[in-house]
Amino acid sequence: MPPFIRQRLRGPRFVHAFVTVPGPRLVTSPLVDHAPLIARILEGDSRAYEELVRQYQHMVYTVCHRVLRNTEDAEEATQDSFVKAYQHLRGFTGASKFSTWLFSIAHRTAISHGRRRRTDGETVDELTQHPAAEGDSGSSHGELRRQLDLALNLLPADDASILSYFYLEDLSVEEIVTVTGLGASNVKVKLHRARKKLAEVMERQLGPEARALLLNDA
Amino acid sequence: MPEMNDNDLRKLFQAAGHAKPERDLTNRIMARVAVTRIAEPVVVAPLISKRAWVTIAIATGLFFLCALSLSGLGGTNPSFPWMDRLLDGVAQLKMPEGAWPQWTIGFSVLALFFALLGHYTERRMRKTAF
Repeated sequence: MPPFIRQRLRGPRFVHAFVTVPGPRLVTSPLVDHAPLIARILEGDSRAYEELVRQYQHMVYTVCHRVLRNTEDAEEATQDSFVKAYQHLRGFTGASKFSTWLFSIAHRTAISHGRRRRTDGETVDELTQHPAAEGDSGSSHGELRRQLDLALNLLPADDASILSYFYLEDLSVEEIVTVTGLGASNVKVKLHRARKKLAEVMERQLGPEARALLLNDA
Repeated sequence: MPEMNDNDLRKLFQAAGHAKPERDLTNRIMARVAVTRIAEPVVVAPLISKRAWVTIAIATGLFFLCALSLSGLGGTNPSFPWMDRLLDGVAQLKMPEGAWPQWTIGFSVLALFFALLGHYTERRMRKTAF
């Protein structure tokens, strides 16, 4: 693609150009997450991407589902996230973990899907029809996830997402900042409030005996 | 009544695990990936870098210093008549006539508009780039 230049004035001192240049190359150091696999993909082996898809599919779907709370939209957002990640794979420099980078793509994709959906009319999964995974129906883990999802759906979507990133994906506050684009103090405050609210919701929803049983099961 | 602490919440989330989609999405994702090209990342780079601006400023300053020293203070230099003409022209520059506040406000608003436009455009580009 020939380079194009679009000039715009940014204040009295600078003239900026928007230029397409070969961007930063992936450092194929063993310290970079999935470096050999990504190197193969960048060389043209798109089938190697399937390994990454299989590894991260459920995590990305969980991220999208937390934001969108709708199975079909979450599946669509998951597909879009992986396609975008593939498209922008050359932009992954290894500055963060691959999972953090992928989650940030998934989070933003889910949010833009949510905005589009709000103009069409919201649909949230009926929680009683929450799909159970294969082999999961009736199991204690499935029931646990259902109860947790019920509680998380009563929280705002960004609070539920932050809780998920912190407790399920084990991301640090700095990584959550990278994923969500929020400030560090904002993330800490939201985490603290969401934690308290989740505890209240679970207590109200489940009752103390059931909650104790749930925690013992966990 | 047991209180839910950090560890409890972590155990709860880990035990609940990840949500699983109804269908395996791998094949659908790979079908879309097969027709997708890996893009070159876009880098926002200034047309004139900071170093270039500093060089331009220094060169301009040196030029005017040389011009002043060659033209002499309060005198003319017959070897460089074009310098005299340039300095005369600068001395004859007049401010535009008319109401000053309106001019000042007008230009300030225009400069602010372009600055905000540039800032907004840059934010939009940053949001779409990964």
